[in-house]
Amino acid sequence: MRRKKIILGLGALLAGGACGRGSGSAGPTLSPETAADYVHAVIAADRATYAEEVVHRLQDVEKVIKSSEQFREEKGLPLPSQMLRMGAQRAAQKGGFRFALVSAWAINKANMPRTDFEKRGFAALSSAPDAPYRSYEEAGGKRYFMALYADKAVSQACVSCHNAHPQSPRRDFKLNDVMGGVIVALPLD
Amino acid sequence: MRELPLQLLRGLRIPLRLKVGVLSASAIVLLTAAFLGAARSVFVPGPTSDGHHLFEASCASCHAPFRGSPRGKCASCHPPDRAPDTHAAGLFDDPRWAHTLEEIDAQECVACHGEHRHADGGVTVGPDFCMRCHDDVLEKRASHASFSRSSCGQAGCHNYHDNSALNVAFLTRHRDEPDRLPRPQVLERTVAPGKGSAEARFPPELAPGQGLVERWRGSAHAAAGVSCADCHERAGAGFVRAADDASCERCHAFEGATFRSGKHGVRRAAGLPDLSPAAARLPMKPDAPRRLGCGTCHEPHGVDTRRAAVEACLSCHDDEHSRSFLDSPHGATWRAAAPGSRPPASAVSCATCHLPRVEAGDTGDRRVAVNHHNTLTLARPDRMAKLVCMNCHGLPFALSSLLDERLVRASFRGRAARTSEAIAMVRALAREAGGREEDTR
Repeated sequence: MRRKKIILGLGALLAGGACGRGSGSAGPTLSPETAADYVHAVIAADRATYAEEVVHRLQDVEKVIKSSEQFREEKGLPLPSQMLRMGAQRAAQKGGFRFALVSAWAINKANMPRTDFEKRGFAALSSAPDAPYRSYEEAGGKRYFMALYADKAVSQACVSCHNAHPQSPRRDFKLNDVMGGVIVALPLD
Repeated sequence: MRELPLQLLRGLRIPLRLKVGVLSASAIVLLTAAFLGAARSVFVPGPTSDGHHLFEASCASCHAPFRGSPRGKCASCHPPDRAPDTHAAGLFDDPRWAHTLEEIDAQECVACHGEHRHADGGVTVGPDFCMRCHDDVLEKRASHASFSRSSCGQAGCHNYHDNSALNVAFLTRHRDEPDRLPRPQVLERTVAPGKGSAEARFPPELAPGQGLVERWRGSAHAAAGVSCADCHERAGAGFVRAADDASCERCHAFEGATFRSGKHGVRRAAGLPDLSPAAARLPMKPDAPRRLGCGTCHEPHGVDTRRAAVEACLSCHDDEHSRSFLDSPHGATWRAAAPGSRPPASAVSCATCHLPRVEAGDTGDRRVAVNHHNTLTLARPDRMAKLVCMNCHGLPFALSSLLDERLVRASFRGRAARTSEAIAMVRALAREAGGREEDTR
């Protein structure tokens, strides 16, 4: 099995640069599987916290502000999916790894599975949602380690919105259902 | 007689090598003189786009020596909008979308916006370019099955970069608005806080006429405590008779910066002499002013923005849309405003739509100012609709009107021939959703 090692610098990045510069290539290494798990853990934790403690609490419980696709115009909160994508864009500007939110029931069709990896990954998640689907892939002439993690409905806000949206292709979601997946792509070159 | 110089040259028996050398040197001298002088346009290899032709003599604005047109050069004038770019260059670094770069190099502006050749609306890749990556849309979406491959942008439904006024959620939210909103009004300009009373003080040898001082006394400048010295004193030069535009920008920095971003001021941004309206491709009046600066539209002592908002525009612009303005419904609201007074918030001028009032400044200094980027709202009908028209009109009326070219030329006298396709589609979507709800009851 082909195994690639990624320098611990990625771990430093996740920790907000706490390790500082110059860790060097001779330092301890960590497998891409573990690195992707760490990245996903941060994404999933932030995503659940935002959905539950910000959107659900302020919108559905305390009813002080709404979340909306048009959050700028409506002076509201970004939807949890928008929050993740905005974070992904900012992270991408630094170069390095990528992450994305994809679903077979995406409201925006651009976010439906499109690559072979994504199609294989969702097929695998449908039978084993608790284990990420992992693979080495090539895209645009570059090599990546990719992992797809199940994205579950962690808050009632997720379920209510997707079940009510006029363009949602599925409207029978329940709490803790798999609604899609988070892809983490680590460049190897 | 015409052959005499050649005969002379033959008679002189000048070696061929010397003749070639002299001719080559002359050509080099002439071309260098043209490049360094005012005739640089002779080097332009083809028709420059409508957006760039006014500063085509400034090669360095777009080109770097021996490096072509690097992406950063485009971004120096076209920074990303506040609205998210649907096809931002960084998106294509994502392995999900990397394969689409084989169809069109969407990370390079010039892949679609070629220059010095014919461009249709600034685009040089043909109207069906969306299909290079989205070729399955017509097949997979029943609602799109009857559309042509080149109608994505042309029908006013999609905008490659900024879909903030064309996405389904925005269209749905505004799909049933009336033609005219109950309280039509543009944003109220923020008046800068006064800095105390001002006196007309100037060196005796530069004393202006009394009429000029009287006009100043009644102006917003005097009310805000702006005195003669505030504009006429220049560091190192003392009191000068003619204040320049830099003195305006000491207080009106936002207005100056946005002026240089639009066609009116872009030559100044490129380091070229100020725009002469005669250089424009749109029809201009023969007696239009010869240069465009702050004082061309604004009388610096009277500071009557009514003149700047309509009269100044119509002193240059001579196209059908401009000529129709005063007799149009918008023009009627402007003519109804009492002369000499501040126009009401419902009065529409040329500037209302083309130099829109926007919220500017940072968090601690939010204010409503006039964006002098005169081509900002002309880029796409949906931008004009969202930024300007929707202050007074519903989105369906605004989009449909802006997409009707005949109506635009007539300065909106009449009604749009048909409803915008995008609005019609979201209305159909709502009807379908309503039908589904009925079925499930």
